[in-house]
Amino acid sequence: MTTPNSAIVALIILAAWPIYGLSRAPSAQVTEGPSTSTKAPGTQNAELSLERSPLEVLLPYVGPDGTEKNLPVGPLAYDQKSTIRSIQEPAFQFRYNRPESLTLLDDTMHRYLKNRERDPSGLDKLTLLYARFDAFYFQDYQIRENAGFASAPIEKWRSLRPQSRFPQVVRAMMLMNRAFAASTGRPGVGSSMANTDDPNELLEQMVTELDKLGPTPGDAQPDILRIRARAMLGASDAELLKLIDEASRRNPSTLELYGMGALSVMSTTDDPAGYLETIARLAAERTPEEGKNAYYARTYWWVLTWIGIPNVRDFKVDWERFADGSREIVDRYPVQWNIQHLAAIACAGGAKDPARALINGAKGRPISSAWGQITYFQRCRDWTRN
Amino acid sequence: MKTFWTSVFALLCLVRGACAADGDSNAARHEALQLLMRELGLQPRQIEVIMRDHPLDKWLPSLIEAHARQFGKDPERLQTVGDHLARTRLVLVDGTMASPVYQLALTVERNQLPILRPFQIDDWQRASPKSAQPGLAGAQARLDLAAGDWRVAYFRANSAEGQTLNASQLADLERHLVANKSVIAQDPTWYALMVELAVYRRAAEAEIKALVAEGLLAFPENIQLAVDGATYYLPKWKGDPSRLGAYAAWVLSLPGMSNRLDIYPRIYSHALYRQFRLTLFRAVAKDWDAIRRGIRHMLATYPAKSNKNSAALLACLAGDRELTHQILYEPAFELEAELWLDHDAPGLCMQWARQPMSAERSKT
Repeated sequence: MTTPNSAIVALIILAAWPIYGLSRAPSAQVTEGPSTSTKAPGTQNAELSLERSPLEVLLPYVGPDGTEKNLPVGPLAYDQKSTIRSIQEPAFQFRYNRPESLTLLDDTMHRYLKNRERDPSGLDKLTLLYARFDAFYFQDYQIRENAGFASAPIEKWRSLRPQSRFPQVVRAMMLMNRAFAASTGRPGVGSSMANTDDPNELLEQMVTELDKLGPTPGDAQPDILRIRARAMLGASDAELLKLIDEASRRNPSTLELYGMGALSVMSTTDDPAGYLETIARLAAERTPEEGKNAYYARTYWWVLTWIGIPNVRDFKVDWERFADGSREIVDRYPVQWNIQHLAAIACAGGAKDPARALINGAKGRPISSAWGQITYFQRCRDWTRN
Repeated sequence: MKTFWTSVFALLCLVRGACAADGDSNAARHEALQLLMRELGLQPRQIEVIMRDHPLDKWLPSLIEAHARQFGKDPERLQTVGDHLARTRLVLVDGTMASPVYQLALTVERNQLPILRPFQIDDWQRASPKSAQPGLAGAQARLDLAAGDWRVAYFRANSAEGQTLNASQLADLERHLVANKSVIAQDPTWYALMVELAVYRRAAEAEIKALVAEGLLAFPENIQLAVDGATYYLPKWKGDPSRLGAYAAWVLSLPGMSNRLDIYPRIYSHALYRQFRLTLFRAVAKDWDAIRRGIRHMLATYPAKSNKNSAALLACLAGDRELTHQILYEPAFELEAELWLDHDAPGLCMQWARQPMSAERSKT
């Protein structure tokens, strides 16, 4: 009878935890829910009043047999979440600690880096793959033990590919995860589960290890981790902006650098709206090959994904630039994911013209991460038409 | 003295099947949990995590599936756990028997890769002639081969249309199962396999009912068998879903079943997950009073997370705002998003349930 090794045990623990997508979706924006209240046909008991189910709003988007196939309105031609899941699959397989999975992961990351591959919505695949290791995006690595369990596959990965920088970056990310866990959730002192990690120590260790790596052309992740660490260690807004500026000269086309950089600065400054606008302009300036304003719009979108689209009203968005950037994005990557998210931002910001232009291109099922609830999409569409 | 009483109890178990009641207890669940943790080689640290986090509701089913995933190709281990679950007639917190859950996990695992080759199963059978597990593994493997995509449609909402199956192989398998019933039917999955085969060949309704009645007599805890029988009424198997309510009423009329009011929501949930999804109540007439009573009974008797989620979905889909609110806003409610079939569904139902009822409606 064989005993499973600790990695397999870790796998069991991890596998039973819910598998989350990007775990923090923008908040719902509907102020009024489904309101029709009619008696359902076929009600058996007169005393029991059934109402119209709120789920009926979904029925136009599911087929007669409950699936999304063969609909007159057409299903989404492209499913961003599935795409992201498939890009992240090698990072998920990592925890199985199998040599073939680890070498596949390394090969995939090298290919993404070398070819600068993008998904159909225009996002950088390497960044998406890294995200699967990051507690900022995935709750499973917010559990300290899970970040610890990752050390076995990382070490095996390093032994299999001693020349590769990726296992070292992922190792640094696990230190960041542990620091994140230690600074956000500490069970009571005295508990056997108490997290006694010192976040500052972990962050400093991480920066030291990243510094040993040297330059990482095409891979902005070490810079992003450094910026996050500096923000967590109490750097000023001006220092963080300087770090973002320097990093953007080295690896300009990684959107996460501007988005995560902006979030980091916004957590420390008294002028979040001003700094966000500055960083969005910097992003556009550094990426002319993406379009004149594409990264301006994308930076706002990235940040709003985390703090909620309705908060766009608190920012200083230049709506002309945003509309211009949205056009560039949609022209180059005409997927519903882009069209509907950008439309939802314009709508929430009260920018009727760009919202109308975008929402006219919306097809198929409203995307919940953009609109919150389907009724909000309907209201926005009606508003742009009036 | 202790040995004496243990022997008396064991004798009672043999004579009256009194152990059956034991399987539906937390003591039996803890015993199974310990067995699985030992089998899986969990370390004290992992065990500590499990014991602090809904060990019976969340972890016991997870570990059953984990064991199937890891040791589905290891006859010795498979037999240890499979026979234990069948012998103790373990019932999970959600009210379903553990044996079919384990067998289903093995079925899912077999879809990923062929696990045991026929000669391995033959060797295993020779080595363990009294265990149901080798016979079940052999039958499942043969059914996979003969039915292929039909099985995918059987266990999921997929359509079986356009798929083929090998009728003569299925007939052979059915004969084999009948011939080896005395051994294989020690595990309740024998009846589930027979029902599945009967659905594929579109047997008469009476035959399905006879299998369900016999299976429930042998394993009264195995409510999942009655639910499996409802597959017969799904249109994708050429069934008439308007008869689901009558079928549920028939199950309740069986000996020892009168207290299983939860059969109603379980059967309609089955139709929802296995075919209709959110269109269920557009396609199928409902006796909401019966389903509602069944939901209340189910949540009082088997307050598992999964039951709460599937019941809330049914209530919301039916338009019963009061019941939806009671389930969703109970402090211990935890969302299991995958049971809602649509990522927008939980939010829509939660928001709707939160809206104030009109004065007139709130009186009812």
